[in-house]
Amino acid sequence: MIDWMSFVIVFVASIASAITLVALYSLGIRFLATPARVDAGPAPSVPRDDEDDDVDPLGRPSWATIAAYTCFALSAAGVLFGIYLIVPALHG
Amino acid sequence: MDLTLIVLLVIVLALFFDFTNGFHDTANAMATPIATGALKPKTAVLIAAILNLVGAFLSTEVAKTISGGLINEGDGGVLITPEMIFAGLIGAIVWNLLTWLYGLPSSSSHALFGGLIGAALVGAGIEAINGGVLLSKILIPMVAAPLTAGVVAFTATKVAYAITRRHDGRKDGRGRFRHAQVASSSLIALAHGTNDAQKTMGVITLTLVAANLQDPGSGPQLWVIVACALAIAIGTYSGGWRIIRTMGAGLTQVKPAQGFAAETSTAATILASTHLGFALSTTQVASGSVIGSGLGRRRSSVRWGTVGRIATGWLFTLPAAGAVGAIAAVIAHLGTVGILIDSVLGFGFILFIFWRSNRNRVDHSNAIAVPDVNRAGRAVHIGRKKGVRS
Repeated sequence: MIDWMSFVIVFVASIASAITLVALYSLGIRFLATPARVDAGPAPSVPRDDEDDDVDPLGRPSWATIAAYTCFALSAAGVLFGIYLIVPALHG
Repeated sequence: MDLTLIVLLVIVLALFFDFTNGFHDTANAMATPIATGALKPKTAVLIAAILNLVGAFLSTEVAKTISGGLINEGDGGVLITPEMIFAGLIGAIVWNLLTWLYGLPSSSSHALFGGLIGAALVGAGIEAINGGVLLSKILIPMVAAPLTAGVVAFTATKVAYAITRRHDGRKDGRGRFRHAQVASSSLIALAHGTNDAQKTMGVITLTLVAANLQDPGSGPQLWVIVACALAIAIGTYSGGWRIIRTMGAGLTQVKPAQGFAAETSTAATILASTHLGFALSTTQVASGSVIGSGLGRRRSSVRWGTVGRIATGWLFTLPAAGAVGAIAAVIAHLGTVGILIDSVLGFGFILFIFWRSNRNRVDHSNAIAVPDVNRAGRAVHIGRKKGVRS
């Protein structure tokens, strides 16, 4: 009567997809916030905020920028897949 | 009994129910981006309204049965009359307005099912109800939805903070999660639009079929689709600010990374459940996500009192909407006079709730005290927030 198996499948699919998407976007932010090289000077003395900070623009290596935008593009693909799932005309 | 009068009343009530459905559920998608300042309140409800409007047109496959199997309809079962639907809608609307007044997120589908069950009990007795379906479609998901979403959001929040954590005292860029929040919350709004307006389309279409105004088995007519899409979009735009306040600030204080994790969890859980066959209520999933993400963020706290009030509301949704639906059905049995009495009482109740809500207005300007993104105004934010608890 109660389909426990499909509940387990829903749970696994939910957690796997949510974690993937969140991890991808978080990695993108982490790459954007990649520390400057040591010669870029000491950490700025502006007050930090654990929740609301933007990234420091100084001295991020270009590989990190590329990696960051790759992560953002991948998470955008995840959102597009979500739209594909939502719109019946797209998946038949 | 004048058939066209009751059909007309059902259509009007169904559209009003659709409207309450919209403003009840704006919070599911938009409470957290409003709370973090990712979207301005009015922008957020506008986006949600447009996506609900678009969503309603994207999917017009309506249910074959009004109650989704909860009531034994069709061959050998109960004949669901327009009067029953009428009484059921009154029960659902009364419950939706009452929970809105108290800022409680609750499932509009459950309210509709409750109202219909109450009306069917009066019309056909206890045999009308399918207990197995009640357990598997309402009661188990009521526990499973917030638990699943809660665990998913808790984990996702932990992951988001762990990946972006810095130990060297430099900025971690977590404010950037706001950009992603726009996408994740829009996804929820679109999913809602392809799902919820269809319930009302189904109710109206099945009523038209029952009244021999439409061929059985045919889809909703264009004017039904347009009217339902507009009703849910206008409802969504009007905001349901009391529920937005509860979801965005009443359960826990929401921060960008956490908000993004919660919204992604909501979207993922809803999409997984729709496509893998274990239907869950959007409202219950979204509430679970916000609570789970609140537990997952350091230095945050969940207001368990609010959680308890919401859970109590869920427990009462079915019986309370059912009781009102049953009373409305009893009165409707008087015939045309009864239908008119029901209509007057229902309309009076709607006016009373809106009058009562004006005593402490909650709208886009005061639903949530949002931190100013461009200014370091955190102290102001926390200080102001104490005053807005409902």
